[in-house]
Amino acid sequence: MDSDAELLCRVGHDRDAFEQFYVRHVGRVRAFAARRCANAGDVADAVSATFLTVIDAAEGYDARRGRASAWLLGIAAHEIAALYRGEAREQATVRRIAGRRLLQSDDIARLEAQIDAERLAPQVSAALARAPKAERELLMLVAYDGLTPSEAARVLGITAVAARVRLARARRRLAAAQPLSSGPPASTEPKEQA
Amino acid sequence: MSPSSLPGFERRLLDDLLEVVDERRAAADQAQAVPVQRQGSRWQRRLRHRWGLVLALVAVISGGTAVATTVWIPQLGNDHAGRPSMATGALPSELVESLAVLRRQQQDADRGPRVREALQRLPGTEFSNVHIQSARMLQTWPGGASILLVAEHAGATGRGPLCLVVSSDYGQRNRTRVRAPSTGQRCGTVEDLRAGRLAVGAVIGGRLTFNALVPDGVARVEIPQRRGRPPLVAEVRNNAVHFEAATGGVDLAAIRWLDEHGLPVEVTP
Repeated sequence: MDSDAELLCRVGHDRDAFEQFYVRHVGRVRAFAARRCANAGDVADAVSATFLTVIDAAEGYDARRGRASAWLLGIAAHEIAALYRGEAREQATVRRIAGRRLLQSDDIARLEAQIDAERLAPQVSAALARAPKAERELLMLVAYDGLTPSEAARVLGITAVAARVRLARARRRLAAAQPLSSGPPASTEPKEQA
Repeated sequence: MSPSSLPGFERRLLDDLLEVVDERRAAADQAQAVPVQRQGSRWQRRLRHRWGLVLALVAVISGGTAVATTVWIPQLGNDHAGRPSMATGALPSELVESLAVLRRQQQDADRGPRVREALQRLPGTEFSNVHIQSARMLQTWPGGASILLVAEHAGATGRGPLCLVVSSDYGQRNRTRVRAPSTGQRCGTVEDLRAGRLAVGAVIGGRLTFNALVPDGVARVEIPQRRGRPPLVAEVRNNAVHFEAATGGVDLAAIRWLDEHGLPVEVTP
């Protein structure tokens, strides 16, 4: 099986390479978009815009600078930001593939369910909402998308050192806003004396 | 996981994306082809010239009631990407009935350098039976032009014979800044024409450039602008529309076709 780096060398002009890369990563990009988009149409647009950009930009991928999955999520983050600035949808229309036009009713139901499933626990959401935007996105990339701090730094266009500093600050902020764990919060009731 | 096991949206998106990959490869082949063709030996060029002349004469003679009467000798395809054949039969009637530009006489501008170059860029691996007498220069603007070519696709690609080709000087000078790799060509059927799918767009130098082929009955195209600005209106000429706008400033998904009275023309999805 070809590595991601080997596939990316060819995806711009080779159907088989693109198909393999797409099948391997589309679920991850969809989940990434579902965590950040408000509705199924936006998720679809974000996924289509991301892979369209992959076709254009794959030749520029440099394996020495990190994993292909981190590079891919960096593109997805950029496209989602552009989507909410109103640019990506126009680009997609220009390039004739507006993702939402490909949606059918069962797709919408499935993507809406995924958006709900990816929604963070209310306590975490509230704590993140209070954090500065830069810290919030960094924490999402590391904690939920599985990137290393260095990879997340590249996605956000900041240095690895800055990422680590922000991450430490974000963790302290979240720790202060307990509970952070996904398990049930610790009981605060007084224990009975034996 | 295999492509067939992908859910509906993801599978349909994959099909569309693969088409983009194909178009990108074809564009790269064509771009690579022209210098190779120019390096051909003198006898190769003479041979091509003679065959072109013979085929053009055959087309005119056998065409009988064909519209064009001028003999011209365009080179079809190139050495690198192969050479499509020349069509000798009449155009399908549904094309002629849908596009007034195909019912008028071919003019000198329709046989100009940009059209000739577009014909040279048609790869023989993808096209066959090119109707050279139906080539039309649709619109020109500083640095570019839109062209209509009619050609059958080789193999079972499912694509139609109407090809909207955009020729851009900018793309040749600075290829890396052309965002859309498929800029340059969009082929489809009459159904694609009526659905508004025969359109080519690109963001060039930070501006959106949009071209589309429209059927008879569409006199102008209304393009809504964002931020409360009044819509842009582009006049249709030669069944084609061209406009440029600021990137992010217009809503292409909401384009409306209007007839000569300003009433909406129905788009068949």
